[in-house]
Amino acid sequence: MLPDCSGHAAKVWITIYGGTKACSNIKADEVFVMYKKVFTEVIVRYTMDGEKIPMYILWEDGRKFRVDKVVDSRPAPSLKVGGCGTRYTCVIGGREAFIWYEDGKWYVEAMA
Amino acid sequence: MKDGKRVILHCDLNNFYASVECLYRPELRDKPVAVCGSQSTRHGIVLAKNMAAKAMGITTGEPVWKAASKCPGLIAVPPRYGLYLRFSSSVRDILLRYTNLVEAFGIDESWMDVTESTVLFGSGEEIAEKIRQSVKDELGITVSVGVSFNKIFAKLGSDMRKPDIVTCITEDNFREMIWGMPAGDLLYVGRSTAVKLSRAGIYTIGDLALAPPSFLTGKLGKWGETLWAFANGYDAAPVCDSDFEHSIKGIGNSLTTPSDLTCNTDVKALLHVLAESVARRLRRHYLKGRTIQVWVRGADLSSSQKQGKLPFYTYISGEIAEKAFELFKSFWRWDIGIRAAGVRVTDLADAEKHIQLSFFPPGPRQRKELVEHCVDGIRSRFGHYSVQKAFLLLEKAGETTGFNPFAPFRK
Repeated sequence: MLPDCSGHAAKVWITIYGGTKACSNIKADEVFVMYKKVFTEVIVRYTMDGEKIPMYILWEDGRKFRVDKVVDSRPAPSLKVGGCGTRYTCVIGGREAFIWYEDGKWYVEAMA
Repeated sequence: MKDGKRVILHCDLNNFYASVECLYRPELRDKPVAVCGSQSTRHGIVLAKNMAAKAMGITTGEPVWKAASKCPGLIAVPPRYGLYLRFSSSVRDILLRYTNLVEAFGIDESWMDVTESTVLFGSGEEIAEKIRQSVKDELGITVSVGVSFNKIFAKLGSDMRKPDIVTCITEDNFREMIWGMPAGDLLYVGRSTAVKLSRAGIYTIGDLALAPPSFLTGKLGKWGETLWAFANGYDAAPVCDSDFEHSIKGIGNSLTTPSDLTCNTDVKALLHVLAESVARRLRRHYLKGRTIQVWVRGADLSSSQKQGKLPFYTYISGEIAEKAFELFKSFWRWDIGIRAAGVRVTDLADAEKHIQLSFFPPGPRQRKELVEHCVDGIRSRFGHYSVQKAFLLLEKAGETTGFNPFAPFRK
């Protein structure tokens, strides 16, 4: 649930991955989103060079998302939910999304 | 940089442990955070702090209770050395993109000699900028980089402005930039040297640079001249190759125990645990040692130590522990309990030499060496606790030491 942002200079608290963050001077028309780190099961194709290419993401509620294309992969941090690993920029359902691979696990920045 | 001059970079990861913790716990980023050792095991000091904690006056190395009294909202988090080592290694990989001359100085600092790399990657400042940006983009932490023509000034540069900044100290501007800084900021000028210098009327690096070298030698001995050369930019020490290993002078381990030790049995157990760790590290480096040092810190924080020589070179843990215990018994009177102890082996020699070979089947010492190697093999496959000396299995001994010398983060 998004907190009540009505009025100017309201002090609100948002939840970010298991904690809270104080936000002051929030304007009503500002959009802000809460994120959480969600570890997911991923079906991966290994190339002959040992590269990992994510094929499907199996969401916690049983849905299965096909990765249409991997646009980029590079080492990068996840500043929103905390972490650092190989970040895959994927096209899923026509939209770009990031998936991280760190210490043998896959995770995404999901809206809380 | 002028032609013919070296281009040295010093990279310093800002608030390293705290930055990594804040990266992994975004909810803590704008709060005062300190990475602290465990208070229950009496390792309760501040190992690192973030900028918010620094602004509250918290310093590295101070006890947690003192830090908490300065900053009531301080969030103390336990260290995760495995994670820090992974980050340190990733940063090193970034540095190695530009040169093989990368010399580590602790887990979070490195020198680089990029003189030859400037042809490929641009000037020292440009390389420093690329490194700063890459570390930020790829790892989410910040680094301050000093660029200069020697190691000492490069280090001063990275310390001068933080975080996430490149500072260049050239031959043309080093007098204006550095000479006004306190003499204690110079590398290798410790607390006692700074006091000696201030007694002689030398307060800044400029004072040090302009003082006659003979005067400094009179005050500080051989170091006086060295520090004078550093202050004037005459440091010519090379940056070691990334594969270079410093020759080892001694190997030691020490431990602060969860509670004070009160009897010889406790101390014997602790010395055996420490000796096992030391002996295994000796074997790993193919070294044997002959001089054993034992160091003890009492409950009143006073320290005492003693050393003695064995008639032979050894890497057998039992021999090291027995000698250490013998030394300990010869000087400790048990007026007070013991808070910490350490064992160190020096006077090292190549393990392949100094061996009296036998024509006959292996003698008792060679058999012991074989047993130690066998134990190493078992432990490397099944973990440190898979095989132990019988008396260390006593519950009391476990409580006394509570120490796994080869936890994953230890090299």
